[in-house]
Amino acid sequence: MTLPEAAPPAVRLRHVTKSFGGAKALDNGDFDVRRGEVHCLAGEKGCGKSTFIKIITGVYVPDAGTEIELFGQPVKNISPAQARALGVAVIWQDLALFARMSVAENITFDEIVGPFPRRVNRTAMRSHAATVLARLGVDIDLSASLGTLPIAERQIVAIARALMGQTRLIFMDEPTASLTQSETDALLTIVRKLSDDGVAVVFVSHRLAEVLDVAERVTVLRDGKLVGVWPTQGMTQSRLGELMTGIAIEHSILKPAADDANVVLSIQNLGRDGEFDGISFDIRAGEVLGMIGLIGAGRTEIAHALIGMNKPDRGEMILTGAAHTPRSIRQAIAAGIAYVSEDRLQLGLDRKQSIEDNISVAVLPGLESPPGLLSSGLKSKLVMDWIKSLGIRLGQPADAVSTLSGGNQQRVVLAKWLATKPRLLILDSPTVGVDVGARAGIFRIVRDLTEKGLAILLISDEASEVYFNADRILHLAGGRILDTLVPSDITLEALEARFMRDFVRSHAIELRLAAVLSLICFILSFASPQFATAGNFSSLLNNNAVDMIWAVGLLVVLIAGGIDISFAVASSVVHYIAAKLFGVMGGGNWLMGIVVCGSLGIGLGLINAWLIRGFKIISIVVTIATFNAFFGFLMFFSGGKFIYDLPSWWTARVFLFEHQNADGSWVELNLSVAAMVVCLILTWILLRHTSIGRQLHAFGANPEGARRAGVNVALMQGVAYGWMGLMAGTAGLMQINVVREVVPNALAGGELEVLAAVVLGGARLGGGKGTVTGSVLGVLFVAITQNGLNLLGVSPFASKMVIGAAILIAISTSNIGLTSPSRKRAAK
Amino acid sequence: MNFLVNLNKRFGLGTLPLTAFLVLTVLLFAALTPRFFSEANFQSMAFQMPVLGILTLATLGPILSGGINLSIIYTANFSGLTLAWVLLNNGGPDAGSGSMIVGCLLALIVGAIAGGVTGLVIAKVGAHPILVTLAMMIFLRGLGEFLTRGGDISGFPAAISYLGQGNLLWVPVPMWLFAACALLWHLLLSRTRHGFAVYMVGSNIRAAEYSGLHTKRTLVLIYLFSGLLCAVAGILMAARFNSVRVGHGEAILLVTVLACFLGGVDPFGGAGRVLPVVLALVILQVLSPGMNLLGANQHLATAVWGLFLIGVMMLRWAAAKLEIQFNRRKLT
Repeated sequence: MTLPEAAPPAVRLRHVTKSFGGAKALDNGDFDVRRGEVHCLAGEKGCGKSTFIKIITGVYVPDAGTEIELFGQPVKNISPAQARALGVAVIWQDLALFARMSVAENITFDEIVGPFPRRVNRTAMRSHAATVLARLGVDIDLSASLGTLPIAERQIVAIARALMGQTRLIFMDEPTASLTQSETDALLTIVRKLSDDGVAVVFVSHRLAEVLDVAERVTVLRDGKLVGVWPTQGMTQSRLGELMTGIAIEHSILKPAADDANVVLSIQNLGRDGEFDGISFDIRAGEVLGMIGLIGAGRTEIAHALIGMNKPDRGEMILTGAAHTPRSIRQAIAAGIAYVSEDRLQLGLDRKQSIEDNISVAVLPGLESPPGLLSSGLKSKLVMDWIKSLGIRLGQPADAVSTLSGGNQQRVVLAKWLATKPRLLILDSPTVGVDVGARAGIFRIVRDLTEKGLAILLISDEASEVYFNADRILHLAGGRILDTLVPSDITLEALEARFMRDFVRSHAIELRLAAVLSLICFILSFASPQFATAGNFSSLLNNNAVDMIWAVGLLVVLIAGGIDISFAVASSVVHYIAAKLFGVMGGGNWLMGIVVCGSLGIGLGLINAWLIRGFKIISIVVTIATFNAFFGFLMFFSGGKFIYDLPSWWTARVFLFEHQNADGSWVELNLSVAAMVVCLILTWILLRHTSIGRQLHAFGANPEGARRAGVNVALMQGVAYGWMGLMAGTAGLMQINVVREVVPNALAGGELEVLAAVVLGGARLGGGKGTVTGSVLGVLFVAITQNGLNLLGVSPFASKMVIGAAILIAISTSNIGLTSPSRKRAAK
Repeated sequence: MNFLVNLNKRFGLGTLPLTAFLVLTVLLFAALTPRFFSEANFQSMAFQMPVLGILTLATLGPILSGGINLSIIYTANFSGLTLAWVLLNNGGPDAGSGSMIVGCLLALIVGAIAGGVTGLVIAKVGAHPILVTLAMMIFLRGLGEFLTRGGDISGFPAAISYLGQGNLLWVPVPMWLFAACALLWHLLLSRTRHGFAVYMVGSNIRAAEYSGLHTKRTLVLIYLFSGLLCAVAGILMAARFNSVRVGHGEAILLVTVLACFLGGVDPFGGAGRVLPVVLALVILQVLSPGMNLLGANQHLATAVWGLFLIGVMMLRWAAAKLEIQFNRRKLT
């Protein structure tokens, strides 16, 4: 201890324990960080490092018995926002930034967070962000959208965000995982600078060179247990590697396979523009060929070419003597290639489905008996065989895969692919998220397989994994093979050192989708001469004011990641109740009307929010249920009867503007248009210029990131559905002014077309994206198409058909939905 | 006990509680009104349920695949319209059985095309199914209303009404059709490669693609089958009411979605079985005329359906919570 006793450590943890289900992710660990220290938390993937951070920052609640002190202050059940207030900040591995917001907004996001609406001051925001970036000595365009930045700059944005306010402790979770060497150097310089300023930095990494370079002390974790704390002085890479893996010394290097063995796969000069080039290698039967490289070095891209996901531009692949030109994964499987993908959670397994279904998914044709029907007998025989031969520990084959531990999940993936009887097995980072014991098991299986003559391509970004398990190693960087190495000719440290020099291209080519559909329809509509008259425009506005009001309400819900089907019926309910109320009381005025309808609408909206939040039911189910409930009760109590007897203030024709043309026709704008304009402006202000609106965007786009940043989830849902309710109430109020009667079932049925219009206007189902302007254009697109067709003398029935077709065409020619897997790949 | 566990596993979670609830509702109504256990009541239910039931099956497939089909009603209407067109062009009430068969076949083809096109757009463009099927719904409604000028088309041969109103072995013909559709749908979803792929695509489309499944073909086919079922429902509606009107049955759309969720289908796709959905349908069907008999009207039944769905979701939430607590206690 070099610091005086007066300053308690930044972090003091005793007996930290955390279990998920039955598994202990962290077991009784102690941990200290001094003030202003750079402290490294080292350990292999899946050892509990992230769990540690999440406990300290309040994302996870630790098990009983855990003691946490931050800056000498004992804390219990801390929330992410409270941790932030104490000066603790985290830079998550996934950065938890918001891709569609600007750099300045991302950096100052904590200023936006909070339950009370405030005006978003963009000037102040920019100057604060600029100050922080200046402190870091970097220059990034503040108004750029975060999604357009390369990874390294996003990393710096995340650091800048962490430094806002009185930050005294920063956690960095694998900050260098996707940085180039020079970018890493720049980052480490920043880390030292922070430490000099008195900010403690906890640096999480499994890259040993960095750990020893930057940290003063290192805490090693293995399998959720604390191995110990050491000063970095006097520590070597190999010693640290042993401490982290615990099994390094038990490893032995494989002997290279005999040269004359059968070549299974031969690749000559393979290249694909922008990904890799000049790749040539052979894999022989019974050989494990290692391929090491960072993300973006071309390793996964080469694998994708082998399995027919991407077509190479140059070169040839020869599989057991025949040209291999797969056009789909199916053809690659049929040719005898199995690919265990790097992202096991997302791509390798369908975690929601059962173990047996996952094992049999790739060999379904062989399980049919009689032809056309799957045989459960054949299926369970296949499944039981593989469970036995790979030693998968499970409860029932019909249990979901997600109930298994990481190692057993990995075995299920192996079983699935081995069942296809491959000649070449590609293992892409097979041990990510697998604990050390299970790793050894997996590699034992791999060795057994090679003895049976299987060729294996082992892709990894962990040098030790390839070093101890491959016969030969290809070192990949920048899409090219740098070296071919044999483990017995080189030490692990030498391999690590080569690997650390790698250059990584960051390909942040984000496809920017400009969906300016509405503009096109504007141009089209000008083709009709009667169209561009004041009279036509005014009636267009009068007739669509209610739809517009609904549209912006729905927009707010969509931005927050929800959906609402019940709003049109909610309007019906509101205007019916209000009409009855004023009928009984008599009198009333506009102010009372607004108050009554607004609060009724908000009430109905909050019912939706309460059901969604309180009972964890998804919004489409809730709102379909409330749609039925609201509508059923309304029709039951009203008996479907119209109300004509309405207060005069309500039905009075008030014109904002009227003018009689020479031909006697009128140009007029009624009151509902004014209400519409007010609603549009208020929604625009809410979404663009208040802290609440920006939090809604962040919450919709990245709920987990927003939650970690301290956004109040219940509040967000309340605001979204409450606003929708307010708009629905206003729409109901104005509907009476327009039609001068209450027809209980008149509004129901309008909801789906409004939804189509808003989504067409660029709002994303799934949250985070959408603008008031877009929604207005979407509603106008539908309204104007209909209007234009009417003017052209097309029957109203036919015009509906044309609108449907127009929406279909608009969808097909734009990239509104990004759900297709191939498109997701392209975007990546 | 083992039998019950097996039953649950084979036909899907939620079979048991739904059955229990069904028995309870039936007993309740039987106790409250003697007219419930009458032949007339059962006959009317048996004629009403098949159309709703077949349309619910048409909704079920797309939801399992992670999407939704909002165009079912108008696909059904439009298929009915095709049948009507063939019949009216071949003598109207005097049309022969040959034209009836041709008409039904054409109706099925039209339904399959509507579904297939929807599926193609979803699979190839990757647009959100809500949006695509919504556009398809608006398109079909417009086309149908354009062709019929929004009116009723009637005047079919008497023979066709057998499909919608006749009895076969004491059971209404529509009920037989519904049973056949449900069985085929169950077999397709639980026993074929296509069905297997539907679940996989529904819960993780990228993993399914990496596993070598035909994800695009799966999507096209599931919407195509959905369209085919709509056509069956459309033919039944035409036969039952002896007329076709575009927009007929519009209110059923959300009820079919409700029935699926009630039957334990995962709104995000990938989980759900045919049998619990059929049970949910029967419950809704019993609830509605049961209350009619008690003097309540159809609209109150609609409200009760909505509340019922909320209630079921709340129960599921509570059950999940209890299970977590139970597991935690088991650990310590």
